[in-house]
Amino acid sequence: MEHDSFIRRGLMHFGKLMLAAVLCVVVSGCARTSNDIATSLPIHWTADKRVVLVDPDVELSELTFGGVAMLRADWTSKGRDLIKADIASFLRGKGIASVSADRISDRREAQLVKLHNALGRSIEVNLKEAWPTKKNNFDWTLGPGAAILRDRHHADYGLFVFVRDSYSSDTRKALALLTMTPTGATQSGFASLVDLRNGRVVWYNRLDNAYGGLRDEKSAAETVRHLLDGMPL
Amino acid sequence: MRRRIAAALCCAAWLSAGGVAQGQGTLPPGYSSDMSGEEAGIWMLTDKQEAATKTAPNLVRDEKLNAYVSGVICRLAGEYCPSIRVYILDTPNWNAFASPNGMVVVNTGLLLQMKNEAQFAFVLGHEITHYLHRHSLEELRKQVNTAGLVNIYALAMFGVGVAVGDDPSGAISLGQDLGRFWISAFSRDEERDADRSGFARVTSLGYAPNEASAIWTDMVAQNKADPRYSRIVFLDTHPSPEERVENNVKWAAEALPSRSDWATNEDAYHAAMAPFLRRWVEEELALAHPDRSIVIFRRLAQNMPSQGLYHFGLGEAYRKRHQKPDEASAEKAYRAALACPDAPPEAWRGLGLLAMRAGESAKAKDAFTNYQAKLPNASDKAMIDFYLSQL
Repeated sequence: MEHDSFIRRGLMHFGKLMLAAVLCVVVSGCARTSNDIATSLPIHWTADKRVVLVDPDVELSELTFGGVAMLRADWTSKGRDLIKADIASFLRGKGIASVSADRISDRREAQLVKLHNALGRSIEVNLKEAWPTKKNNFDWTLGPGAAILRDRHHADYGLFVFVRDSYSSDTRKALALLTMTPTGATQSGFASLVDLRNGRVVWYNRLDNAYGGLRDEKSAAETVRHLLDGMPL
Repeated sequence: MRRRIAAALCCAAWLSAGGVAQGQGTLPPGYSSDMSGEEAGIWMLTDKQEAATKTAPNLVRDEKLNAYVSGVICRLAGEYCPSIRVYILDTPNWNAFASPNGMVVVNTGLLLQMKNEAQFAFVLGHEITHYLHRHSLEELRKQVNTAGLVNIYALAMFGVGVAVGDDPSGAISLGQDLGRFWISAFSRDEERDADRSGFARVTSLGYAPNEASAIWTDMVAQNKADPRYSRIVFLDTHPSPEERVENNVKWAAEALPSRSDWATNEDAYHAAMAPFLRRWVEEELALAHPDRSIVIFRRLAQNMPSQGLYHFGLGEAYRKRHQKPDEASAEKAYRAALACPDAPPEAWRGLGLLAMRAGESAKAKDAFTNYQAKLPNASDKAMIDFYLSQL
C-alpha cells in the first residue's frame, strides 16, 4: 500500500517536472524572466547630464554533475565585457552620455561598490517582503559619500550592476533529464541608478531569469535589456 | 539525442570516479593560472578577494610592521617569495589563511598571541604549504567528485526504493552526510600535510622545533577554559588541537638533535609588535570572551616584555567576567600591571571600578583620582567625574 502511494506520488511529481524539463532543459532559448522595478524619485533628466557605469560585479559559473558551482574565468571575463558593451550601447541608443569606471582601486570608491552590493541585496529582500519601515517608502541610499563618484568621474548618476549567472554542465543536464528535476542553473542580479548628489537610489531593478545567458552576444543583449527595462532615463 | 545523454552519463560516472586529475604536487615557482579550467575560476575569485582586501578599511598599512612580516614570510618562502603577498588585517580573531593565488592574510589577533618569531613562522609555514600544494584546488575537486558520487548513489537508492517499495529519502540523506564527512576528512588531511611540510620548512631555517607544539598547547588551554567551545569531530575542517600538539611534539623530538643553535627571535618579534600591542589588547577584550582572554593574558604576562599591558588586560578580563573569585584576581592583576613601567593608566580606573562595585568608597576615590592625574583628558572623564561625585 505504502509502496503504491510512494510510486504514485513520485510519478505525479515527475510528471509535472517532466513538462518543465522538456520545455526548459532540452529546448534552448526558453526564458522565464521576472523583473521587480522600484522607482522612488522623479528624475529631471537634461541632455547635459552623464551616467557613470560602475565596475559591474559579474560572475558566471558552471554547475557540475553533483551541483557544485564552479566559477568560470573565461565565461566571466567575456560576460562582463558583453554586459559593459551592451549597457553602453543601450545608453547611447537613448542619447545618454556615459562613462565607465573600471577596475576601481581607490579605497573610498571601492567601499561604495561593496556598500551597493549589500544595499542591493537588502532591497532585493524587501521587494519580496517589505520591512515595516520600507513599505511604500523607497528611501534607500548609499549616503552623501557617493558624491566622490560624481566628482571623480564627472557624472550625475551612477549605474551599479550585480549579476550572478550559472549554467549546467552536460552531465548535469543529462541528470536533470533523467530524473526530471530542475538543473538549478539560474541568472539573478540587480541594477541600481544612484543620484550621485546625495547617494539616493532613484531606480532599482531585480533580474531573476531562470534561463538567461551571458555567454554570447545575443543572450547578453537580452539580459541587459531585461536588466535596464524601465529605467527612467 | 539519446546517444548524447548516454555519453554524458558515462562522462558523469567517470568524473565521479575521480576522472579529474588528482594530486598536482608542488607548484612551480612563479606559477600563474591561465584562463581555462577550474583553477582559473579559483584564481579569479581570489584575485577579486585580494582586490577587496587591498581596499579594506581594516588593512594594516604600517610600513614597518608590513616589512617585518613580509621579511619573515619571504625567508620561509625562499624561491616562491615573489609569488606570495601578505596582508595584515586588524581583526582580533586568531587566524591566518593562504589563498591559491598567493595571497596570505594574517590577523592581528594572531600577532598578539604569538610568543616569538618562531611561533609566527610555524603558522606562516603551514599557510605557505597550502599555497604550494594547491590545497584549495584539490579540495574543490574533491567536492565536485564527492557531490557527483552522492548523486549517483542517490539515483541508485531511488531505484532500490522503487524496487522494494520503501521511501529512500533516509538512505539518500545518509549518503549526503557521508559525503560531507568525507570532504571534511580530506580537508583534515590537507591540514596535516600543511602542518608536516610547514614544520620541515620552518625548522630547516633554524627556528626552534618546540615552538610549534607550544602554539597548540596554548590553544588547547584556551578551549578548555571556554564553556562555549565545542566541535563536531566528523565535520571539522582541521585536526583537533590535541592531535596537533601530539604531532608537533613527535616531529620536534626527531628534529631537535640535528643542531643546537635553534632560534626563536623573540626580541625582534616583540620589537616589531610593541607599537600595536595596546590596541590589540583592547580588541581582544572587545571580543567579550573573558574565559579565553584570561588564559591568553595569563600566559602573555609570564616572562614576556610589555608585562604591564598584559597584566592590565588580565585585570580587565577578570573584571568583565565578574564571577565570584574574579574581583580578587582582577585587583591582583591591576596591581601587578601598575608595578610595571609600561602600565596603562586605565589600570587605576579598573581598580576604581572594582572598589566602587565592592562599596569601598575611599579606595575607589583614590584609584579614580590617580587615573585622572595620569590621564587628565581621558575620553571618559565626564563618567569618572560623575562616579567621583557619587562616592
